[in-house]
Amino acid sequence: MSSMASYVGAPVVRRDAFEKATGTANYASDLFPDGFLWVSVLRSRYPHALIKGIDARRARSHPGVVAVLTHEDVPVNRFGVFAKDRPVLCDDKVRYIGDPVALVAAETREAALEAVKLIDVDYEPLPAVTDPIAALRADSPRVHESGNICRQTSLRFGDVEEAFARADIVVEGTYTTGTQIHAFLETEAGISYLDEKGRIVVVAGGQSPHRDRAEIAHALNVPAEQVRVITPYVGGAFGGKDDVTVQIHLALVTAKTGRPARLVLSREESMISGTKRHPAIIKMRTAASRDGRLLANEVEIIYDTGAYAALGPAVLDVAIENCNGPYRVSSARIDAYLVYTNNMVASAFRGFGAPQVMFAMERQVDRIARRIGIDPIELRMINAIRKGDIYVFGNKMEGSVGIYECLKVAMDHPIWRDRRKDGTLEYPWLRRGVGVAAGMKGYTIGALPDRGSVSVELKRDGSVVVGGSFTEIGQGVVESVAQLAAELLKVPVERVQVLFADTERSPDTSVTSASRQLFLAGNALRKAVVALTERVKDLVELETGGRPTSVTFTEKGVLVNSNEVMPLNELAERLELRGFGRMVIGTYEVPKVEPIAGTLEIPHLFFMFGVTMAEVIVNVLTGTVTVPRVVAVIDAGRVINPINFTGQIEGAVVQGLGYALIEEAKIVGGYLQTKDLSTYLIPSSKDAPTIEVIPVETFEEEGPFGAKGIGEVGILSVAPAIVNAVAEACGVEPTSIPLTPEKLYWLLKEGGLVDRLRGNEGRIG
Amino acid sequence: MEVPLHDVDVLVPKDVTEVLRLLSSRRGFKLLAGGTDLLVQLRSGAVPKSDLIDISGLRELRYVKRSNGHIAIGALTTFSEIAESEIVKRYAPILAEAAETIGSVQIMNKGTIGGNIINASPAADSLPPLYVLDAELKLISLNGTRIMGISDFYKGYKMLEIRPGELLAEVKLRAMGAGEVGHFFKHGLRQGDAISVVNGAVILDLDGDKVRNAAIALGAVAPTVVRAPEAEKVLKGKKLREDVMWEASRAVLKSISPIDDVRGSAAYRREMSVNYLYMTLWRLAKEVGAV
Ligand SMILES: Cc1cc2nc3c(=O)[nH]c(=O)nc-3n(C[C@H](O)[C@H](O)[C@H](O)COP(=O)(O)OP(=O)(O)OC[C@H]3O[C@@H](n4cnc5c(N)ncnc54)[C@H](O)[C@@H]3O)c2cc1C
Repeated sequence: MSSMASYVGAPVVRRDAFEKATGTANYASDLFPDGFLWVSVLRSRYPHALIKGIDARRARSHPGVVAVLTHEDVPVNRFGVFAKDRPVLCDDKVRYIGDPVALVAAETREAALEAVKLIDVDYEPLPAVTDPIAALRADSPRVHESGNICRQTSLRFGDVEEAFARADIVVEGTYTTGTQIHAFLETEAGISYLDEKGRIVVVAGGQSPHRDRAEIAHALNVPAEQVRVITPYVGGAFGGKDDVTVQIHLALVTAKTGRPARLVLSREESMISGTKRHPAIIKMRTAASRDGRLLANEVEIIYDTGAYAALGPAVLDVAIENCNGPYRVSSARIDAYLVYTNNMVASAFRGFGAPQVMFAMERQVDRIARRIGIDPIELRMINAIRKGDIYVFGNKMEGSVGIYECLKVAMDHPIWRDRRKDGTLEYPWLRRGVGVAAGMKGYTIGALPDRGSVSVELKRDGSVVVGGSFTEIGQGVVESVAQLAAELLKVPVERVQVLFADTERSPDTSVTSASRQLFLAGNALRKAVVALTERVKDLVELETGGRPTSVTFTEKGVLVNSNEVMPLNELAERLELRGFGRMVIGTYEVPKVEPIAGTLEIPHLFFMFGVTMAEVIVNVLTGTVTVPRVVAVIDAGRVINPINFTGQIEGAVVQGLGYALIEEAKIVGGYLQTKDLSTYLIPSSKDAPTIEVIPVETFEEEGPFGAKGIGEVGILSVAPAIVNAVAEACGVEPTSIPLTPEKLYWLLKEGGLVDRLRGNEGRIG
Repeated sequence: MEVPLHDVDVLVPKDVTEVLRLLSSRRGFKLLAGGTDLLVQLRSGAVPKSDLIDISGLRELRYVKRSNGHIAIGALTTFSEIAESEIVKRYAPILAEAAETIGSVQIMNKGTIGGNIINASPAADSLPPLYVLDAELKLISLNGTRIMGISDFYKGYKMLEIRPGELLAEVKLRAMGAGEVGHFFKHGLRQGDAISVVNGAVILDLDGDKVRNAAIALGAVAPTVVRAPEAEKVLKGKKLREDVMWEASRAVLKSISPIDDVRGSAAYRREMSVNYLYMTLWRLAKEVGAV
């Protein structure tokens, strides 16, 4: 790259690309510390049962077993970010089939697996609470002492009654969305050991090393300084490693035995014990005027959080905040429930509560467009919010709002313009359709305190080390942060080393979730560079007696008062010599406003927007939907690295396609029936459409170089776009995802489409 | 929970004779071909652990040959090899079509036709083509050779007419004749790497657009793969018209007895059997210009 070129916006190849492609990169599951113990977890046999007793004597005396741990070994046996309602090892009760009851640590894997079977647990099975609506009834069995309502919020904005009274069109629907499983390539995995100072070190896949450390320290009842958490490359997370997974169990084994330990979940164990996307039931009544203005929305949201709250309370907020879509809806009534059941545990998953409500709202909007007879994109443009608007909760849209621009690009795209052109289909039983949907979601953590720090160290060879606790979960944040540092300090990107996700060595940049990390780290980095500038001024002042008026970074080094250029190696040397130190820290706090009453984090000030268009081919005789083409138009702010950006959106589109059509976690009576990747299907390469990603580069004033979050936005409107396309193709109105072949087939049959093809001879029953 | 396999012995014999000797030794060995079924089943505990004889390296059981109107396929031939075989593509194209759909490229490279037959899943994709091509299986042991027709081989769900000490050596099919056209079909719940919810194979012997003879087999809708004689009968002697094709398709219901499972309900499988047979007949009719 020439010295004049800018790194921001450049397609820099990720530094981890080669090692990952060649298999040399180290993930937590690749680590085998010397003399480690194999850990195996005994998980509940029932979705809901009392524990009358645990007899571990046979397991303890099994050859090779070093320790068997139960709740009696856990100093503080409840953890969780929003509610400390989750046992490290179950004591009084088990609440889902993956609930951990005991740990075995053994010299061999076989001994660990064998001994787990020798632990006798005396259970008294209880009726399983599996239907969130039934769970809300007063006479339902209780998952927790406190009842089955984990959180409930009712909000009213504007005059809903008046709006419905004057509406020309009212559309009503009940929508259901499925349990989606993250199905990351690397299951939950980690190792632990004691370092030379006797502190517990946990190296594990995760999304937030400092928060994980706090959870471990709390459970072990030790000061946080006694624990170090390192997050190496993570083989995918998507929110599924936002909560603690293996970390406390590992720390506990090492604390009890003094030995290194290793715990890598099998796929089946991961499917059962891991968190999921909340399955949802959403009722909506939406009012509109004949000329296409959305007037009011009446919404009931029920999210099944399973056995524990996990991050559910915040997920519910995101559902509430986004359920009216990116529109100027002037009034809304929202009743939202987060319900405990015995259906495993739901928590964070890319989109964090938004994809469910987006499915409902965007189906509603499409149905309204059909009722009015207006182009669905035009209807969305009439209602699209703009920067500076007051949104339905009374909050001002302060950040960049690019939804209108995205819709405009979508409207002019050939996939939309030519959508009704007759392409000949190969068979008479195929139907073609193109659908559209819009999406929105806040990034950063809204009205909750959201702060993060990043360090910058100048090396004496003129290179730079950037440190932060952001985690590399595959999204490419490390390279993007390096690019920003290279841009700010005007050094070649290869000269920027990134030290990430180690509580001992990198400052706390807080969680890598909510599409916030590039925004946070990038802004903290900017602050660090300001601090470095001040440090240079201090240095020059000390050396020359006069404080420079300007300090800027150039390709040749820092330019002081626009005359002296000091190369970075020399600057580092002089900072060291004069005792200033070569490291600075920058801290950024996301601007926020007071949360609205009854919520935790509403409103956000910063939002992402996008529009998805999908072309589908429906086989009326099978219910199979294939998706040859998807166009994703994304309000991306300024794109820092187009390769990473496109990768994130493409991945999100495929994940969204799985959510829309394929991924079906079947849970019967609290038991997961689809425990492997042969029955829980995710899209294969043959299911992936041709994806065109179009960034609409609005400039986010508050973002680093105008950038905004992009990690989740790609998935938000995929499912409604695909299902809207099916509705367009076949004239049926599906209300439930995943829209599996069987589900759609019965809908098509009910709609008479199958019999129309069959004629009299083929008609059955 | 995962079964550890560290203590499993794997023997690698150098030829078929040595395999047969080991098989007769009563040590309860299992044969390991591509391992794409067996290893999964051993790990999950679905099949009890035992020592293994790895036969995947036996080149003598890996071939596709043509001999007087028949095609002979060695049991260890992989689905990649079958899909690419010029002989199969020319004389048993429906088997080549089926081979193309077995899992993914990785599975096609490892999985063998012998393993598919012996594993005996009702949803096994090579079986419907073998049923309509009147396949014969060659089973060998130290006691000699037995030849058995494929429909006699399966007695019920995963119940096979194979004796201890026997190895499946070869599958022999009839070559499709000049007037014969056919297709394999498969309904999976995604586009790639899916287990069949319903699959099947159809061969029509045509005289212009008139059906001289039909052979139809379906999988995943009964404890074993089944032929559909009623549907075949409807077609026989008739022209490929819309009403005939639907009538024949509906007649398939008389031959199947599907169940509900995690991949689909019995009712859906019934509908799919009818519709897929229709779609397949229609495609064939279209190809010969009958619709
Ligand atoms: C991801 C995945 C996807 C799959 N997709 C499909 C699919 O789409 N369609 C499909 O039909 N199948 C599918 N399968 C199943 C499997 O790949 C096939 O059944 C394959 O043909 C099995 O052959 P193999 O050589 O791997 O058999 P193995 O697993 O080695 O053996 C299977 C059984 O046959 C026995 N055996 C093998 N060879 C002989 C022999 N010569 N004589 C006697 N006994 C023998 C073994 O002892 C064992 O009991 C899939 C499997 C996986 C893991």
